[in-house]
Amino acid sequence: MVQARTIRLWSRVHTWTSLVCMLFLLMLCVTGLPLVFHDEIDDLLEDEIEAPAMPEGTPRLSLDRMIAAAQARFPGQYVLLLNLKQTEPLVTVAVSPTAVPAPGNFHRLTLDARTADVLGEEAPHQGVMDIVLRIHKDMFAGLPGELFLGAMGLVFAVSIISGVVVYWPFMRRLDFGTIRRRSSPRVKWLDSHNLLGIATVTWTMVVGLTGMINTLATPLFDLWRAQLIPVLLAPHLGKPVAPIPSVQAAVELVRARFPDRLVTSVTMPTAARFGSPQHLVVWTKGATPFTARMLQPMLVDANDGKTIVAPEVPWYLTTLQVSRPLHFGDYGGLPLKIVWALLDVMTIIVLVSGIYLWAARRRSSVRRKPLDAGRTAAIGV
Amino acid sequence: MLPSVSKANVPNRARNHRSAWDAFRVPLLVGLVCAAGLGLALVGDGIWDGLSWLALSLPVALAVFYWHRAGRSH
Repeated sequence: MVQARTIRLWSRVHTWTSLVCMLFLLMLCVTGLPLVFHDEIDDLLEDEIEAPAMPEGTPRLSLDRMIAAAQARFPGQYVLLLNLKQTEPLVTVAVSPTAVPAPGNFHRLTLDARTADVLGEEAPHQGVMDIVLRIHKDMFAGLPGELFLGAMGLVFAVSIISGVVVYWPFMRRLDFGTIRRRSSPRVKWLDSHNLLGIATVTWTMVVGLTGMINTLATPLFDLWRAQLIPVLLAPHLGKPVAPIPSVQAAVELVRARFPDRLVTSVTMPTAARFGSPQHLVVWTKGATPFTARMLQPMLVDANDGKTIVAPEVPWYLTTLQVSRPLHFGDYGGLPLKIVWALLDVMTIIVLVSGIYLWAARRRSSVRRKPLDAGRTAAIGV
Repeated sequence: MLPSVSKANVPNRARNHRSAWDAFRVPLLVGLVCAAGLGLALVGDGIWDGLSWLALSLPVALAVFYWHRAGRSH
């Protein structure tokens, strides 16, 4: 009888953890569906800026010219960062009217890397996908919202584990995949819930846990910054934010020192939390599919333009960087995204059938005699 | 790719209590295949991506197969 009691306990854990996270999980699954395809949707909604055709091997101008062009376009504003497109000779420059940018309040200029012509200008705006992303990420509640959804992810993980435990008593008399269609709708949906739930369990667990890790991104980056920056800034204590040194020279220095890494972007000296007031942050990535996920910042001293610090990325940020693709499903081309979407739809079916089963059981157990209800609970239905 | 199952859709009442190993054999296999699929696309492109699509399609294929089978036996 001990076993029956254990099963009843697990069954209760499954019911209650599922109920707690249900609404949020449904929201996450529904908003996550378009987000899987956000690249494709963005391409569709916004005109892609392309570099004009020029003879092969047309030399690129210095990155300092890009900054000068952006400053000429928005005189008196602050250049925050510079992005180097890997596939095309394009450079994007983010410019903000304030030294520390308000979230989303900056212009993004796209420049031709060979002529420094401004090809496109993106005013601060929020597209549909940005709104969907905000709902998915923090429900417009900032860091607390993000951490709350992370907690829901943990509850979901417990719900999955307990679901796997109670799968056994349900399947004791059934072959894998049995759907008793001729029985009541409840039995049919119970079988479907079990089949879809157990078949997707690895995927839901991985996407759930990596999503939870992603919610910790901001605190983890702040933690690293708090450990790293004060040491680096000690010799510069009390100085104002350094002026922008030659970015081209700094990038060339990094390329010479780390020939196997690709420079992806450069953050200007800033008082904002995404950079350092006395350094250029040159972000680099590896050249293989796996190491391309691993971003490594190189800090170039903005005062002498020479000293490079390549801080070791701590394990928790490496974990964060690996967990990103595993959550987004954007690391294996469009077919992987389609599979991701199908698995997401299957998860939605598991969630909805779970609510249905809970509601149906409540309805019937109210009507049923106590003796019968006790027996039902013992087998975990 | 699909696990062998008895043709009868009606549960076998004689085999009343199957072991945990019996119940979890197929799910464990599916889980391992999916885990491999999740990892494969991370390590490389091309063939690795293709294998990953196949592996992660398994849960979808299982759902379609068993739903279809249950519908047919009406």
